Amino acid sequence: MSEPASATLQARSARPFGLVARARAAQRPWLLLALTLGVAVVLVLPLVFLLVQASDAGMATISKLIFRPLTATLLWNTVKLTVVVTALCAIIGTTAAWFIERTKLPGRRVWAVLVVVPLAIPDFVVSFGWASLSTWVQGFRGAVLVMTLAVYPLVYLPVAASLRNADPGQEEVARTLGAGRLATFWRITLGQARVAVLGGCLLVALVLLAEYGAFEILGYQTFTTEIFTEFNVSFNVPTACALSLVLVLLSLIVVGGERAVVGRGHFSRTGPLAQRIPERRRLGAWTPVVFAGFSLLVGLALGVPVGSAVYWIIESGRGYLTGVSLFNAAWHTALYGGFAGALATLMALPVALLAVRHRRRAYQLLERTTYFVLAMPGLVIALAFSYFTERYAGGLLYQSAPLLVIAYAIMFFPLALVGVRASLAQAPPALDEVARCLGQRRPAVLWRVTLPLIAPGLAAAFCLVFLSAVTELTATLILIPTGVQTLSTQFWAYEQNLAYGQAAPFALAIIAVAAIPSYVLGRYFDRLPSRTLQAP
Amino acid sequence: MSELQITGLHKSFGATQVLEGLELSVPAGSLTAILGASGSGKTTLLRVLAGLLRADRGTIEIGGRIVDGRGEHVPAERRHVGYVPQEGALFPHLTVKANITFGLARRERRGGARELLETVGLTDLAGRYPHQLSGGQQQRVALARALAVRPEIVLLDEPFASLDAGLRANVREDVQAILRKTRTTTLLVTHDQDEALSTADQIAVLRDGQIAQCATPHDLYAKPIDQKMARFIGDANLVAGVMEDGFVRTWLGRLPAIWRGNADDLRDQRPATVLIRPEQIKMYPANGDGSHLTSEGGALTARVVGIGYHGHDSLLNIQIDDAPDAGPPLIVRSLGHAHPPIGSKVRVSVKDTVLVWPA
Repeated sequence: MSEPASATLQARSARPFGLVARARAAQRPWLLLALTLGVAVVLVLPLVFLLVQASDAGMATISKLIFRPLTATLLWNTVKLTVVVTALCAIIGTTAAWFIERTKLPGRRVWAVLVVVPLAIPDFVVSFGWASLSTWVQGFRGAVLVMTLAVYPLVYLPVAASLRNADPGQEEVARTLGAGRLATFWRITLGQARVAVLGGCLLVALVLLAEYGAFEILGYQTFTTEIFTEFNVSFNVPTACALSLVLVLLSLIVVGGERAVVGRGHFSRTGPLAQRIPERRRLGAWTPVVFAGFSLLVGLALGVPVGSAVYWIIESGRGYLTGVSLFNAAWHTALYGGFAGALATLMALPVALLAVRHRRRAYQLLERTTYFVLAMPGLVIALAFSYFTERYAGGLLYQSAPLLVIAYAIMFFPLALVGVRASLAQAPPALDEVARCLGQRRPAVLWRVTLPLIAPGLAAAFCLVFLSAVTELTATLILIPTGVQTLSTQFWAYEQNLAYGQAAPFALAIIAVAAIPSYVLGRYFDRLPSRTLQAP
Repeated sequence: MSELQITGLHKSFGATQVLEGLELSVPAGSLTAILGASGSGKTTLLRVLAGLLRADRGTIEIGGRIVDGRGEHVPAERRHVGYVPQEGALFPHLTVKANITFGLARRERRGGARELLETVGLTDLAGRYPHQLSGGQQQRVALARALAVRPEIVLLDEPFASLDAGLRANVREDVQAILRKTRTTTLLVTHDQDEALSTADQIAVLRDGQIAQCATPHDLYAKPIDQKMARFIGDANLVAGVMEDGFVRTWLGRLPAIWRGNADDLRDQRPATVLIRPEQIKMYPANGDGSHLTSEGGALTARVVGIGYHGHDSLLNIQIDDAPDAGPPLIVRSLGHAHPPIGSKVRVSVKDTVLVWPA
């Protein structure tokens, strides 16, 4: 037996290399590969532009601008806030998720919606809501309060999903092996949710590093606020560039750190994806306490910002309401958001197809690298685009609507990729193969089988990007075409003039526009785990 | 419907050789089962045949047309091979009718389904979606979808593995009937010996990347090429013996033998391995005098040490008294629902000729 085998092996290796290479190459998805590389190049552009900017300023200038006391202050402010808020979000998000998914908390379906809604309220609106009511909400303590209330859903959502999907069998086995309830929670439940908690914390930290509007209102100085001021107010490009480099480095450390921590350990379900619902715990005498806790959380995170906006509208009277400009701003917001959503989803499609359907290490690595965009704060992307188009492209696209849409699409590309990828991973490749055997060429297979199957995922990707673009302020302020206002920039203009009564309707309009895709997304991700694309 | 001819087929994934010079010929209109243990490369073979994977070497000919090899590689969509993967893989977003007509040209889609829906007996379910169907119905839809485009051959990958045991026999008969009626050349992959034996016209056993034996179900069971094959197909007792003038002498007696080794290797006193199928061992109550047992095998006393009860029959493990070497217990088939209890004494003898290989 071994003799013929080794003989074939020899015969094989004796074949001319070219033949082997040609046979393999014929199966390679050239078109997908080309499209993916194209997307990757677009995603790298901001970084390239940033480096161009840095080299224009000169290494000596840059290093002089980085190594000075201001940088240390900004670093301390930024890191301090990021650590405290991320920790608070982890605690609040995980606790809320556990109570809603694993206990018999009364009204948990309503709570499940209410605790997520703050995600549709931009951070700068939350910040405005609090700061316009009380001068106590300022500086570090203000930033901690506002940002925690604004972004804890980023931890809640993935943790709730992972608790819902977790295999209850593992907890049951742990209990039969003699582990108590507490030990089981600590060793199994939290262990299963660990990746979700870390993933949520990563998003929180990245939001904090990139946030501008909320901190500007609260008077808290971070890298982002300083970069914005240097670029847009003082027109000091070298300083803005130097600080951007530090900010990108900081974000890269956060992204890399999360990867390193998650990389250890292996998490999986054993057994098939049977959805068995774990038994919920009774709260008993604790019910009123937990109920009060949820009421407080929702009141602070949702009630105060919305209530404050309503208060300012009533307080200022009707005279200020400008229907036309509100409609006009909403139209542009939806337009830019819509195009950004479509473009980002379109860009994500070939990348996801290549990584999910052609399982080669190189392709998956290529896909993985596109996630590095996460570490590029929107401000830095906008800044790099603005500088480059003005300085090198001869003003082509400078402050144009397409450039803003492209910037959005790059900023929120990872969100679109997550949506498309998840649904593609659920659509069995066997269906594509059957379609091909039935005589359909690849484009027809994509059109008639793959796309209909992943349509919900494409919709989710679109909604995620749309939602993010609608609530975006920082990059929009820099890239918005002259003479045009979106809801967020118009809100910002009024807010900065302390015209709270005029700003408030725009805040509510943003929330209203963002609420629709949030609702669609909530429904989609709720259904995702139990959804079986193929009947048993 | 066309015949299939495979010559010298090679396929490897990296350093792992999966198919190593596989040869197989499937007559037009027949149902051939590819039988192999899990991981033996059955699915790989089907996927290469369907054109979803590219063969490293060798040729595949369907109806006289080379679809793979000699510089030719016809892609899946132009191969006219019907492929039914495990679990059927129906399109969940399409109705039964739309699933079945998926491969037809646009103008054929309207009317084309009716005849096929009748053939597979699903006319009433045309408007349903796959998740509203039972496992057996899904399997029939998948088959109808593959047949709709009039393929030259149909490939079925473990078509019944996902069905409940109760349902399996029925669906198997349905599918078999449809294939017979349409006279479709079919290649069916399975790891289930019983399924292969009861369904196929011809069984090809896939082992070490090659077809180890290809024969009718009867011949495969009655004349396995080696001891391994004998064990793989059905239950087998393998005992040691010595050749003696057309007979083999074992501690079960002197038995008429068919030599399966090389003819020039056969001589007296040649040590050999003897295959005795469980149903070749006949069992009698121990208190009978056994005087009528005058066969060459003679009569031996034994003790029942284990019972595998199957309802219609039982497989007993018996230990022969005075066995010269303490080998494993022998497997004996006992028909009917009554069988001697564990520990009881029985008398046994071997009937019919046995197959013998050089030890």
